[in-house]
Amino acid sequence: MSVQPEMAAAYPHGRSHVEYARALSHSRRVRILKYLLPVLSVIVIVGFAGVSWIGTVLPEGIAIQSTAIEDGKIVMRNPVMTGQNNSEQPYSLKASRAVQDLATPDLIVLEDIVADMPVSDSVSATLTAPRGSYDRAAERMAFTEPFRIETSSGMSAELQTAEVDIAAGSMVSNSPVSVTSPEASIVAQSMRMQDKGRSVVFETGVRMTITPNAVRAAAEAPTNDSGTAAQ
Amino acid sequence: QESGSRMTGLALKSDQPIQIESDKLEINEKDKRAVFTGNVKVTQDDMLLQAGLMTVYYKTSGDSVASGASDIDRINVSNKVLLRSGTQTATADTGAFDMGAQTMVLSGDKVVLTDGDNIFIGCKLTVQMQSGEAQLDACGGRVMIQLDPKSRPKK
Repeated sequence: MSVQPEMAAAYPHGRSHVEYARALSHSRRVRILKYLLPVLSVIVIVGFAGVSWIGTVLPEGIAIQSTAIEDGKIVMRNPVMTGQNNSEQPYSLKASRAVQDLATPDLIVLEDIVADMPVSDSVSATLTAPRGSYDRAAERMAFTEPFRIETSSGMSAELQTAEVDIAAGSMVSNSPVSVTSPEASIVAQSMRMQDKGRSVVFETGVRMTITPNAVRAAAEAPTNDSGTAAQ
Repeated sequence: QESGSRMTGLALKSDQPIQIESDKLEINEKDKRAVFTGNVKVTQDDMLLQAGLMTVYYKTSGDSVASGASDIDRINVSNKVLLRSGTQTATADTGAFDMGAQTMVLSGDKVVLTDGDNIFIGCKLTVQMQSGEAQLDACGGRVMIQLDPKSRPKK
C-alpha cells in the first residue's frame, strides 16, 4: 500500500464532503470508540452502587433474630435492615452477625454482609462482603477484606479493601480493583469515587479491555441520521 | 495541495478486543466526560494510538452516563499524539475524533505522516475512520514530501 500524492483532492470539499461523510456513516462499519461509553458508564454504576444505598439510608425496618452478650460484646444474629432511598427504591442489608463492643459502641462489625441496593431506576446492585466495620459516629464503613458488587445489568466489581464515607457519599479503595461487564473490563491499582458515584477516578496502571462482542455490537447498532444508536 | 492515502489499519476489526491503558482515568457524570491521563495507549491488533491525554465527551442529550444510554459525541487527544497502523505512522500535537461524522483530524505545527520510507509533512491529517482513507493538508503551505529515493541503489 503506497501513498500516491494525487493532484486532485482525494475528497470533494464543502457540502458534498459532508454528504460523503454522512453516506459513510450509514454503512454498517465499526466506529472506533462508539462503544467506549457503555464501558465507562459501567464504572460509574459501580461507584454509584457503592454508596447509593448508604448515602440515603432511611432505616425503617431493623430485624434482629437474637441478641446476646458475649464477653463484653453485644452480638446480634442475622440483623436485617431494610428501607427506601429518597426515590422510594427499596434496599436491604443483611449480615450473619453484627458485633458491637461495649467499649467502642460506635463501631459495629458486620459479618457475611449482603446488601441489595438500587443504582438507577432500572438497575439494582448487590454488595457481598465477608466483613465490614461500620462506624456510626464517623458514618464510615470500612471493608477490610475482598468484596464484590454485582448489578442486575451484568456488571461485577471486585475490590480488595475500601473505605466508604457515607455522609460524603464517597468511597476510596487503595488496592487493586477489577470491574467487568459483558462489554468490557477495567483494572486499576486504586479507585476513588466521589459525589455518590458521579465522579469515579481510577489510578495507577489503568487498563481497560473492550471485548470483541462489544466491538461487534457497536458495528451492528443501527445508527439513524440523528446519530443516536438504537440500543 | 493534498495527498491522499489509506490508513487501512485504522478501520477497526470487529472481532478484536480494544485495549486502553493510562495512568489515570476519571469519569465525571456532571460534565459528561471521561478523561484518560498519562501514557494513554489505545490498541487494537496492529493499530496503536498514543497520547498524553484523551478526553471522551458524551452527548448531553443522552440519559445519564450511569445508564450508559448517552452516546459519545467526540474524543480529543493531545500531548504528543502518535497514530500507527500497519506501515503508516502519523504524529501530531492534537487529534479530534468526531463520532457523528466518523472522522479523525490530527493537527499541529508539523503533522508527520510516514509510510514505509516515505515521509509527508503537513499541518492537518483527516482520516475517515470507517474506510481508513487519510488526507494530509498543508493549510496554505505546501505538503512537504520526502520520497525514499528508491532509485538510489541500496549500499
